[in-house]
Amino acid sequence: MQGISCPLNAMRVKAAVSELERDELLEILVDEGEGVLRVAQTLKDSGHRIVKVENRGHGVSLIVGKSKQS
Amino acid sequence: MSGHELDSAALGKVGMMRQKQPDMYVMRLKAVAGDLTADQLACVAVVARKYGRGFVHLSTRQGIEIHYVHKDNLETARLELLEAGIEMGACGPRVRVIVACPGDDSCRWGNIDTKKIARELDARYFKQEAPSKFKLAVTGCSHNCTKANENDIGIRGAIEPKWEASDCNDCGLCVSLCPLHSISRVDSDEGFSYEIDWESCINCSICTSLCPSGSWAIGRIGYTLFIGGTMGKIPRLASVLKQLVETEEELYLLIDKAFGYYCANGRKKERFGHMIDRIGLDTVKEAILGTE
Repeated sequence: MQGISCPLNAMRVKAAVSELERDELLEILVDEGEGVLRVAQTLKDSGHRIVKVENRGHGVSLIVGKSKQS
Repeated sequence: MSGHELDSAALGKVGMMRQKQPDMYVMRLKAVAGDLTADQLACVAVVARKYGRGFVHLSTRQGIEIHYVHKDNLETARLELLEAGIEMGACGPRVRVIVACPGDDSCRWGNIDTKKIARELDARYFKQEAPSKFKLAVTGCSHNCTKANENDIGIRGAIEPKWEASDCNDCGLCVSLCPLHSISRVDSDEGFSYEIDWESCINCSICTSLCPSGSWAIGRIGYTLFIGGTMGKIPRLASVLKQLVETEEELYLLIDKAFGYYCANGRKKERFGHMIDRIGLDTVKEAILGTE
């Protein structure tokens, strides 16, 4: 999702996460700063999970999963 | 009002400014925290059509101005606005309309009830005479949308985050989210923890608002109080008077003291911040905080 501006990055992540199976995880790479903030915000609003976040220097890796309720 | 020699200083007190065109005036309306009802807006539209030239100007401080009102119509127009509950703003060396962001009412980041504070400040200080113009702003968080530090008195909602181990899933999002990189993960014999560098923390609410497991909780909440900010010809960003004021009571007490100090020590036309630079920030802070 790097280089994709807000809010498109967050919308794409949300769409991708909702396609996952219940226990499936997905790794996404987003831009630092506003990018990770916007994606985290959308995932929280949608009730999805963030399992691990790592700064890779050239971007931030997020391992995300589907909401336990859905 | 017609038939009298119009006194522009007296008109300034009630928010009417002379334009460069002869006999034409600007009516500056008061909208505390930038709020007006739809009915009030409809009244503004009627008055602007009837007595102005059918347009309004939005000021930089959340205000509405009706331009091109002839001096003979000022009082009639003022009374029509007043019927809709719209008062006039202020010009000249006095406290101006209080500006504020929406705050915790509707904003995800808002830490405080900005509008309540703006209304309280309005009741206490609006139109009070001062050595120069005096502007107050209330902003809900460190995003600083209302630019608290460009005002003579700025109030910014502030939280002190507190990490709670119990629910933390160690995802590390907070480390990447913190705009000042103030959060770090620390390993010890007892396990991991997340710690804050208080020197660089700006008391925003990003970690507490976005932590997926709710492990960043609000430890303390309050207001960062700024003094002496101004833009204009000689800009000066405000200085922090106190990083975290925890009660509304203390907030008003400190503002009272700061405003009182300025009224007693400021020279005519000298802005609060320039007075602070002349006297010295430490001296001023001590005078205001000293007998807290």
